[in-house]
Amino acid sequence: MSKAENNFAIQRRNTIKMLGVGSASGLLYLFGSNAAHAAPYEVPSYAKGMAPAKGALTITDLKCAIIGGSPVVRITTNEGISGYGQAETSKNYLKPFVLFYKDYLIGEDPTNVERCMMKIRRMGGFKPWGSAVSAIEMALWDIAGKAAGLPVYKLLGGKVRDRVRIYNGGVERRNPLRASATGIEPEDYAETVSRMKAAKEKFTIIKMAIGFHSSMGANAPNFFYGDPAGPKNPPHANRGPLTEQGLKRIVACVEAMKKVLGDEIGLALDCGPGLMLSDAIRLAKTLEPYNLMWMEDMLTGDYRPYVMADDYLELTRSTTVPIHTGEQIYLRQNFRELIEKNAIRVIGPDVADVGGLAEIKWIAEFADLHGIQMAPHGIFDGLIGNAAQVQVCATMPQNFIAFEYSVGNPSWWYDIIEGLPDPIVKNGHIEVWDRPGLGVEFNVKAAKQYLAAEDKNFFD
Amino acid sequence: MAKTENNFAIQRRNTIKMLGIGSASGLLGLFGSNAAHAATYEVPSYANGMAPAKGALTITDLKCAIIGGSPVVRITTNEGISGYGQAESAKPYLKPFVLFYKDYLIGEDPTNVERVMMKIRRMGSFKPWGSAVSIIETALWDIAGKAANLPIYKLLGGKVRDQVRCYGSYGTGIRFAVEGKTPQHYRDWAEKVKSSGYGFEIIKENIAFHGNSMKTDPNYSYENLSRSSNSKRDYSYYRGPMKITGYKMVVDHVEGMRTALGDDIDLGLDIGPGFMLSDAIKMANLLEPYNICWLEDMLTGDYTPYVTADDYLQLTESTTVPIFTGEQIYLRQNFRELIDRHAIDILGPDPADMGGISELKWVAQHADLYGIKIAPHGTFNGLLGLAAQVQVGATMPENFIAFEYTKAAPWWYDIITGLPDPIVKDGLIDVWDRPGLGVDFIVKEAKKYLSEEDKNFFD
Repeated sequence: MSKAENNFAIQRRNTIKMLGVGSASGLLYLFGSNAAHAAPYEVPSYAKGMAPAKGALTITDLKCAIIGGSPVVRITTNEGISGYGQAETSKNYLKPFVLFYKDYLIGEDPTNVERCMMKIRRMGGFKPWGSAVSAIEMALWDIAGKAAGLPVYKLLGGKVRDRVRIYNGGVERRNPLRASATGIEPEDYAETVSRMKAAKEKFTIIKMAIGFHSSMGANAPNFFYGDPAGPKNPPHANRGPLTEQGLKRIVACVEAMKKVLGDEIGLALDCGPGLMLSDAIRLAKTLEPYNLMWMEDMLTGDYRPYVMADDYLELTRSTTVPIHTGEQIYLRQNFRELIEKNAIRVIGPDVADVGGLAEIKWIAEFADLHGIQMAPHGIFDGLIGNAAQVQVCATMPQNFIAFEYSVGNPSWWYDIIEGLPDPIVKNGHIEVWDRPGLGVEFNVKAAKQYLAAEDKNFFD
Repeated sequence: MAKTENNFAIQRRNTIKMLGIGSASGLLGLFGSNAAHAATYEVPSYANGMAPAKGALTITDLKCAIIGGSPVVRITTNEGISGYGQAESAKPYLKPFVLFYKDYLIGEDPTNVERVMMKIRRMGSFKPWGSAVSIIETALWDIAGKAANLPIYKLLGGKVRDQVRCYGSYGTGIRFAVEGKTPQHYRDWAEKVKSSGYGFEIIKENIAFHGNSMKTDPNYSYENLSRSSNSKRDYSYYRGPMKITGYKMVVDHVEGMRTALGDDIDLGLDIGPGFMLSDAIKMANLLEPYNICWLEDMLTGDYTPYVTADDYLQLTESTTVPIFTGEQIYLRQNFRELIDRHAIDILGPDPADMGGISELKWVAQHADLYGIKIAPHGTFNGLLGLAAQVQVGATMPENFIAFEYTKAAPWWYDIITGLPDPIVKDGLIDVWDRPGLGVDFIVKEAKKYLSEEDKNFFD
């Protein structure tokens, strides 16, 4: 015990004695009351984290603005500290949903993050209905870090790595010469991964959309035994039995990509959801020679409000290709079965959908206990989301592979967010910074010009 | 192959040939486009199920109004038929959430309910984030029934019972406080329950972690979360290890109620969530002598966005008291484990939260395959929700026990027409035969209860 800690201990014993209170809970109660403040003894600093004392930091407002298509949450406090969080882009419909939680948070001490979260965590759901809770958690950690003068990673147990590996799920993916998304022929795939490989970030892992996660379901002839869903559907609507031509198309595209990437750069595939279980097994077995990093979301995934762990168990046990899922899954309880049964090899919770930073950290440790690896999703989480990923991924166990890097979109995001390294990425990694909170801030003057009229008071 | 089908097949081959298109996907694309309509060949009727043909019923709008605190959805069509659905009351915040689905539905044929639901079903979640999808489904069935001039139960496979049993609970107005702890107090309470006028054969009481008073008693449990000053606005729930004195409180109360009710009325207990697993096992075992109808949501339930089926399996196997859960669970996929593993004895999905009435019917059949019973939740579902329960309740297999009756504010009975009078006789509701849900708004009366921003809801 250090000298300072020892002093606290003595002081605590004396305080208890003088107040004539024997139980710690009684003490706790008193510290929160006026009686405690009336006493001539100062509240010891260790007690500040236990219950909101008079003069504690409290939440005064929760605001949400849609900035460049991203819902951004701002939590303000009585001491001028604000915290920010960000949900996936292109989801302006989330604004009323974020504001739903406001009344539950006003008056709370944001530095007791878990206490605030206990109030609202149950009121979320599978993606995208857990994103508001998640972005709020992000903002609470931002405040807690700023209030303590510490980067968030210190409040999550400390960093175990000084730089965090990222993977490329979309940088340079689109061909600027094509109006539509990536093509569906092997040469399109070869060309795309060449560009992704040449990106200045020097990514060490590249993930490509293929099969039902790409436009093959809609555009490839005779790809599956079903009719393509129409355009007015939520994303990733196609699902059905795969044809032999469909299977061969996927294999040919993987082969073309591996020819470009060799064994220097890991290749992961975002495959679904939409495959039937037996097709998923057949596809994974067929792709075994290509040393894939992982195959993602073959059965469930994007916008599927369920897990189907038993099906994943069969798939995982059937092949040596690491099977991956998890971006849509909300809270540890919904990961439990996948993890405890080793029904999966790699999980990819999204910090902005799973319930926040502390939730993903806990899940990472739970996964590590079962030998399951972590590759967090995050392609649309934006620059604040990136900062959150850096903070929490710095603290994850050795089962961490890499998180999915998000670019600022539109590119003016780089003009309104300060604090990111320049360049952000070096050799496929981001160095962990030490500024308090998430360590990134809005340049308010620059950011204001992108606020809609109804959000114009967002920074006030 | 029947003759008509054969004709269609020939016609289809010809159509493909004439259009010069070999793949079914190309064909589908064309049927939805103007090019197809411009062709001189009529769209064969089998294709109506694939894409909306010209002249088909199509959705023109989706509206949501908050009426007496209940989100009500109205789906309108090009032929003047409207369908309605209703979510749990006291949830005005759901309005933007219901409207979120509008763009996906405009232009669809509402009578192909499954086709429409396939578009949006994935975009919901555990309670309350599955309620919007669920009530849209009900509104679609309402339209489909009206368009076919059939009650919904006919579109769900037909009714297997002429009367649907319901049970009484919180929303029914038959919950009377037990005024004291003597046998006479319990007898007085039981007398009030029995003379409520509904004739319910099953009632459900709140108790323990689900009640208001017991869980806050310092002798009840070891839970000691710091509640904030605005604790009414707090979704963190009472959950923690039980005290011996807590078990005794529950057992004494149950014994008092059970003894007073006699064998005439079954007693279900809404008792959680909040128990730790070993405490739930002990509690259930302590209650075995009292012939409880079910113990509901001991581990998870109201507003817990997960299932924890393995824990329920242990609990269920540990006791003869029927273990019950399900009101917050969305879609069959999230019930799968509970059912496949016999992890539960009775399921209580809510048709206004779990994905709709056809989803409830499907899950009821899945449960029946495993000998698991069904007692749908619905205490706050309102009069439209009640009508939906009657329609689907009439179609469920023999594993159906009863659905949870809902009572509305008195003026609701002035703005809704079509319900029997009285609604409940001897705990049963006669199934009616009017098209769709069989209930409708009296628009002139209902308009009085619309807020300013919803004033065009019925237009």
